[in-house]
Amino acid sequence: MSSADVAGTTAAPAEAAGAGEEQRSVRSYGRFLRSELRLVFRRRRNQLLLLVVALFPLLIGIALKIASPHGGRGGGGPNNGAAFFAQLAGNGVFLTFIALTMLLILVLPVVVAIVSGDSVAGEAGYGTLRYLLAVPAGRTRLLSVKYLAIVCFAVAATFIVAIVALVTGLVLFPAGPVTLLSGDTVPLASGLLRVLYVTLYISFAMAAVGAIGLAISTFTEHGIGAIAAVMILIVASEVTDQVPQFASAGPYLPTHWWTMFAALLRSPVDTTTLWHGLASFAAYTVIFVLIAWARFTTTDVTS
Amino acid sequence: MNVSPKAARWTVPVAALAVTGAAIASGVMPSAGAAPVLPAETPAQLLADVSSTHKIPPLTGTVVETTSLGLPQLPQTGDPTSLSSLLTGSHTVKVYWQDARHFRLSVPQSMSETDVVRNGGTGWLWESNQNTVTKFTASPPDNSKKMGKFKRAASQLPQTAPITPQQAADAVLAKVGKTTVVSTQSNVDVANQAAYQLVLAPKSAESTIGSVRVAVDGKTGVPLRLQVFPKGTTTPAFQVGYTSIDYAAPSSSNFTFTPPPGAKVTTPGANGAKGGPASKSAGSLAGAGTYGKGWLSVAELPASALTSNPGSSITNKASSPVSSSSSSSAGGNGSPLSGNSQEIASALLGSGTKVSGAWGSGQLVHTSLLNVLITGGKLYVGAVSPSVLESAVGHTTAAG
Repeated sequence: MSSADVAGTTAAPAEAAGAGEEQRSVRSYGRFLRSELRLVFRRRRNQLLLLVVALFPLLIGIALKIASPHGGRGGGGPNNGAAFFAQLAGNGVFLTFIALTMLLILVLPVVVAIVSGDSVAGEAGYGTLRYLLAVPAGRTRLLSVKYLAIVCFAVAATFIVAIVALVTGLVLFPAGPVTLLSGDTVPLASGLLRVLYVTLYISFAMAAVGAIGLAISTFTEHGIGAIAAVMILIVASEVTDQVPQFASAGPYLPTHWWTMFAALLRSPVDTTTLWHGLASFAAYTVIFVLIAWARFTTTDVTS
Repeated sequence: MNVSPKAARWTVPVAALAVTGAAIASGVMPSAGAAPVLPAETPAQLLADVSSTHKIPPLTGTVVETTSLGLPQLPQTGDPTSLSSLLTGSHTVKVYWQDARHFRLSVPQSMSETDVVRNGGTGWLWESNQNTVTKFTASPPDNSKKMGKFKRAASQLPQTAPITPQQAADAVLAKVGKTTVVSTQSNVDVANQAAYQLVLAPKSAESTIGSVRVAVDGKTGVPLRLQVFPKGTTTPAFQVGYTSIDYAAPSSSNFTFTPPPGAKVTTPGANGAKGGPASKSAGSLAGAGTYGKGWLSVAELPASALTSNPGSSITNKASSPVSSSSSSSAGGNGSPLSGNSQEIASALLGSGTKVSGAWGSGQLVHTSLLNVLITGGKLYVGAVSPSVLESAVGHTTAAG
């Protein structure tokens, strides 16, 4: 956190100039952010991404309903999510955990990678970045607005999965007290609260992916290149995490803590694991946002 | 544009990276301070401290067990409680301990959990992977052997290795006798507790164990860590110890357990096997036996336990869907080779060397700690030199 203070002292003169009228700058920042959010959420491609993300839990729910895993295990490996699949027949809430676990492997990171990887590089590629920089807002501000919009999108995508899965699950399967991994049963309300926490935890993970995407995005003018780079990074991290020989490196990989949301489904909640995960996401977010900042505020924008 | 402000900007992410690295390092690295100062105790006093009758105070803690036998790369099933993970990996057990009749041990896995809960006269084994509950009703209370009871209940966990430092220390202390050299070493810091170090070493040259070190909490006498060092090495082949411990009574809600709706609940007979839900026979493998005693004990197992599928432990039932008709976990916590898996067997066999002698011929698998001799449909396992294994062939006494 101390590094952020350093950032303040070495900041560009452009933003120092605007520091005078605080009230007005806050309002203009809000306007700036709103316009960026409009840009992100009104974009047809991004809307399509959210639609696809929303369809997945629906399809998973219907497929599992048809397969109806009563008694037997719903395919797949014996350990990965098997407990959830077995629970689903008795409780629709588990569709949320199933959907989030499945989408967490590829779909959600890809969606976030597309939006974040394209954020700066896309504008540079289209030649609109120059005009954006003409706005008297400063590059730091522009970057922060870009990142906030990415975070909003990542959170929206995660919550869409959770909500669609929850609704689908509750419609297709019975609802009732939720059995935790520890074998304890908590009331439905308490179970729903845990669904919320799990969704927030994954949102945080996706925000970290967004930071990586933003950083890579500042290094290129080709949006697709940045998107591909983020995806390669994510997949490489996931593969490395599966290789036993690299087990000691596992905890430092960006993807390692994603599925650790299971800690929230234990009784008592495994807070140690949870904090490790959140600390990992925070570290990745801070480092990559700062890399993006260092790059973006020093590079020459020519297009 | 100037060059120096550019470079200055880059120092910010670099600084953030450095801070993160430092934070990780401070968390990972053991505090390499001087040995903590504790009032001097003789090895005999320490032995009394860790003996079975010693009362364990209420505590909440995390135990991590690591095994590195130097085995060939075994096929990974992804299940942390599977045999191959047991032989090579590292796992975590959360301990919530009130007293010998009220405790909870939970083994968190990636998307599942196994719990042993004991609440007064009732014990539960919960396996979320299987959605099964096994209910145990304890025999009338006997006050003398609290730890023994703990051990018994805890051995119902799908683990063949000792799961807490207490159990591990118990197993080792059972071997202490004339064949053991007992000494102490400089105090250590385990899980932020100042601890004595008790060193047990076998006198026999035939043992592959160099020494067993037990870290004993200086204040409470609780065994905090147990390490097994093979002869001539300074890295433990087996280690089980607390990574965090808090001597505060855990919430009593940890000890209540109600089988969740939809779970399959089985209740094995009161006198019955301590095996898995499907246990039909007694809790020992047919054809299992032992030879020798103390440090030089050798376990004999039918090789069919490795190559085919009878007598798989509950653990392995979880990992291999094939074995639906398994009997139970192999009694005793000595040998880690009580489970099975086809791939593991072939991986082990593949790494073996051919040996022969007056006793016959077979395959010898050498690890940093254990030696395994496979001959005549039998498997001989022990932390002993190959010659002891060879002399064990055909001379074992049937177990349980």
